[in-house]
Amino acid sequence: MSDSDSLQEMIWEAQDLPKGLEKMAALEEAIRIADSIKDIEAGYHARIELIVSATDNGFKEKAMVAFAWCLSTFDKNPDQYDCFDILWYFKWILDGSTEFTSISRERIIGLQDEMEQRLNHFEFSLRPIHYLRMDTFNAMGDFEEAERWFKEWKKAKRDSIADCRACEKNSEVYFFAAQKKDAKALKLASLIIDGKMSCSSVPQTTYGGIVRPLLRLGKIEEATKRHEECFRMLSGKRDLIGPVSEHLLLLAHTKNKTKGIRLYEKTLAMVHDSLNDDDRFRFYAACWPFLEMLANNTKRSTRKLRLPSSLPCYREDAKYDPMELSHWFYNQANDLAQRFNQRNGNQYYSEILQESHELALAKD
Amino acid sequence: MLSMESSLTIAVVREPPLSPSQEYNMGSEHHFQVDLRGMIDLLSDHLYSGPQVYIRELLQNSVDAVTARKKIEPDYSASIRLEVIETDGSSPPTLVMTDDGIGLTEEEVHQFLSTIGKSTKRGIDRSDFIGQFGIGLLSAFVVCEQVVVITRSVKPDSPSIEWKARNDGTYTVRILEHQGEPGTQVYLRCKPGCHEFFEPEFIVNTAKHFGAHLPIPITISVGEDRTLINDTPPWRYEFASEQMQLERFLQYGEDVFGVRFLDAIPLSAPSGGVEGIAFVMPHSSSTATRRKHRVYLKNMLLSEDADNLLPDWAFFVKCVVNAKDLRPTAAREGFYEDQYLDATRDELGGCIRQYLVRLANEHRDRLNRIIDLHHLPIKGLAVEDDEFYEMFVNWLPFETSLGTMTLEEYRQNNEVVRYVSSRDQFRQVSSVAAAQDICLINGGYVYDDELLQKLPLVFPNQQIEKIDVSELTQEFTDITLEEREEVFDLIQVGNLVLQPYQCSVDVRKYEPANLPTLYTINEAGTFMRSIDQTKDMANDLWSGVLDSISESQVSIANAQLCLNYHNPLVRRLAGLKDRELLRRALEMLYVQALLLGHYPLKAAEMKLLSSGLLGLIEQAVDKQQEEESDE
Repeated sequence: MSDSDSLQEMIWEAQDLPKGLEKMAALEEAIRIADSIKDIEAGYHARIELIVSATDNGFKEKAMVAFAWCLSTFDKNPDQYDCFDILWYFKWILDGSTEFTSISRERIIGLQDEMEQRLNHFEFSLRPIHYLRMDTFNAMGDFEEAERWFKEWKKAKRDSIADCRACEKNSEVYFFAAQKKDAKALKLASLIIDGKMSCSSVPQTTYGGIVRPLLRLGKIEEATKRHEECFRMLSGKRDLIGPVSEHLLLLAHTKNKTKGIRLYEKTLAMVHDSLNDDDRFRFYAACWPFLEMLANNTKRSTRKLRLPSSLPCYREDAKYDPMELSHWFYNQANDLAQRFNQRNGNQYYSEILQESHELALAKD
Repeated sequence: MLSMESSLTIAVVREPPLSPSQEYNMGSEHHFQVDLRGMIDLLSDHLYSGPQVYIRELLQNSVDAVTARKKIEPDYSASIRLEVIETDGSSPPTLVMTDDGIGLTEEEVHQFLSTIGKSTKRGIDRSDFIGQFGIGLLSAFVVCEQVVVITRSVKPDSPSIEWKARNDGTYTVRILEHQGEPGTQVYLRCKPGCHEFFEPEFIVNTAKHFGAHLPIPITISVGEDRTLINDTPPWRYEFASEQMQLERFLQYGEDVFGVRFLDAIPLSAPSGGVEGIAFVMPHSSSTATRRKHRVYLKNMLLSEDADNLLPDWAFFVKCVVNAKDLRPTAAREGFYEDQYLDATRDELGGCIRQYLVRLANEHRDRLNRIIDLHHLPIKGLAVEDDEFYEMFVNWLPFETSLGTMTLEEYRQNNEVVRYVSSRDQFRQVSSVAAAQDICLINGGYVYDDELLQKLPLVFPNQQIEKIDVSELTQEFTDITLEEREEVFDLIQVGNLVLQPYQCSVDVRKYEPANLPTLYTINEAGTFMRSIDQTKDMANDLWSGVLDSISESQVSIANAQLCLNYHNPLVRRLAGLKDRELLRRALEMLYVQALLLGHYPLKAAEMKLLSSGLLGLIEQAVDKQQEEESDE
């Protein structure tokens, strides 16, 4: 068997693995081999698989590196590869770009422009780029721009490169929720959830988008019911840290200590060394009030908690003062918020942070 | 005799009726016209898994009717009877299903039999009933053109009613002169092309499939033959001994699934009124496996592929259960996610857990067999459950640089539990670590990292250490001060030469002696390599994006080339006076180490490879010529 054959076999085997870190590791291994024997085509296809697997596992930075490689390779030889793949994953990468504070607003706009050029070049509808501009500006708290692209998006024709209807509807939920148009957001969300719209990422993400609107409107009972429906879809999923964090806020609000601690420990183990600033911000912003709730509702001054040993606040005896920990997480979240604010040129992340605390600890 | 013709209506009108003035303002009100035939096609294509479900739906109606009657007359012993009337072929076969349940009044016939989507069981406490969607009888039209129902309610002064419905959406209702016993009879006459669904064998098998575990006697008669299809499920029996129970359970598992299972665990969950058996699969499976369970709802088969009944970690068992108090989803693929299902899942997980704990105490051999095949799900449970963890973690197998062993074996020989967190890291160092007798655990598999991190929490005296492979070589035997003097230049030149590649140089003593170098790199370092490699080819915009991503990684990226003092070549290099030759030799050793470790070369390293190789050849040739001219 030649090197290329056994490499191909490796890639197939990796493809067959269930979603998860093992699959990602197997693909990275295959890529290393492909590159070292200079099998560009195999390297390309394994990287396309890696983009999916890394995204599934919440390693968007790895997806970005793999994508950048594929894009350059594609440009050298555009007839050899499918332009649809490239454009499709470009959407994912652009969508994730706002989650890293080190990627500047100018670069994000640069990526938007590049995507538009490529859609034009291959004669696709501009619907996805209007939609992504809406999404990325919304994520950066620039609601004026988001509003503008929202209108463009709604007017644009739908073709094969557009996101599925469930995804688009889901983005609308986030669009309205970010602007606190809660009734509208919830109505759209119920179209997705009760209308059984689904795809590989919906309705899981939608369940994250409705927590703040529900808390703001004081609909705790409904929030709890929704929480029960979705908890198993979210818990332990590395690609859903945002929605998971929102549900930790809810657990803080309902003072559900047992379930909350479990979720806190499990998620922290996955998030603490993540390069994704947004994931860390969202989760730490929820840990802050959650641990404060824990401190306020316990007689003991310390509590046994499982923290990853690489965290600076880690203690060998595993006994923590929840209030002290809560402050630690606040400081982390606040640092991240400042970095996001600086990048975005506004105070949006600080507002999210403050609101997390208010909503989680508000009295019904 | 009263007879009238009407059409079946669909229960979609929810608004209150309009007053005449509103009607005037808004125009006249109309009802939607729904083509029943089209609707039946839709149902049979989408809602029902196949025409055979008509038997389930009819059984369900009968069981609910009997249940309703028993609420009023608790001592009444009711039964359900199916009769297949075969013909010589001149007229189509007919199925008659009879129950002595509660029956319907004339008003109820109009209301429930003739309004699709309306159920007698809606709005009341339906916890005792199976059906609730009001679409059951419709399924009969999948195999019939006409359905006749003769029914008499147990309510006082109720006459016998005949309801005759056709698949064009019309029906007639008559009050019969002859008054029968309370109960209901349904006549189904086979429509052309559906003969296979009326064959006696098919009907018996299908009725058994769905209804064998029902507690109401169900008989099927074909001519003179009568079959009682009921069969009490084994979880409802009392057994004289545990062994007998296990045998009976395993036999049942084999009958139902055709598989000889490894073990069988009795299940009981009061929250959802669930009882049944979990069968341990006789082969191992991955974490992504969605086991399909066979579930009965109030003793009627609901689904053969319910997948949300057990905790995620329990993917090593396949269940048969009956649930009394869980809500099915409309598509019947499982149960609705709510607090009862949540509690049920916990309780069922608890049953499995308890069983394993009991095996640990009483039947270690059986437990070991299960661990051999299913350590993955058991690890998953141990991650979630501290008590279980404490008891089981020592028996679980881990991959180490000295081979696979249980944690117990590992801990007997190693005071500190040391592990690397990814398989890539493990691959880099496992064989060299083994040669130094260093026992490292590969924490790169599902659950292992979490399990190991949990150790000191559950066993407070146990130390653990996560190893950064780029620092592992520090544990190899250090060189003496004198030896350090000897290799001083080697290290200095090495650090200088490899600095552009973010790699440092060290010298240690390690086995095997024929290995000159060991290249190690941590996760951040590996990621940085992939970024650099991509930057070599990306345009400015993307190069900038990649730089942004790598920002946080630069400071923690670490790579090291560790030279082996035991290796003769390394010792000779240490004595080399020619700095230029030493530089080239070190560059080549670096590139060789990368190639041996299957690291793809960055552009700069590729250049190093070609120029270094040429340089060495040139140098060798020059030397040869010098020697020749000297002669």
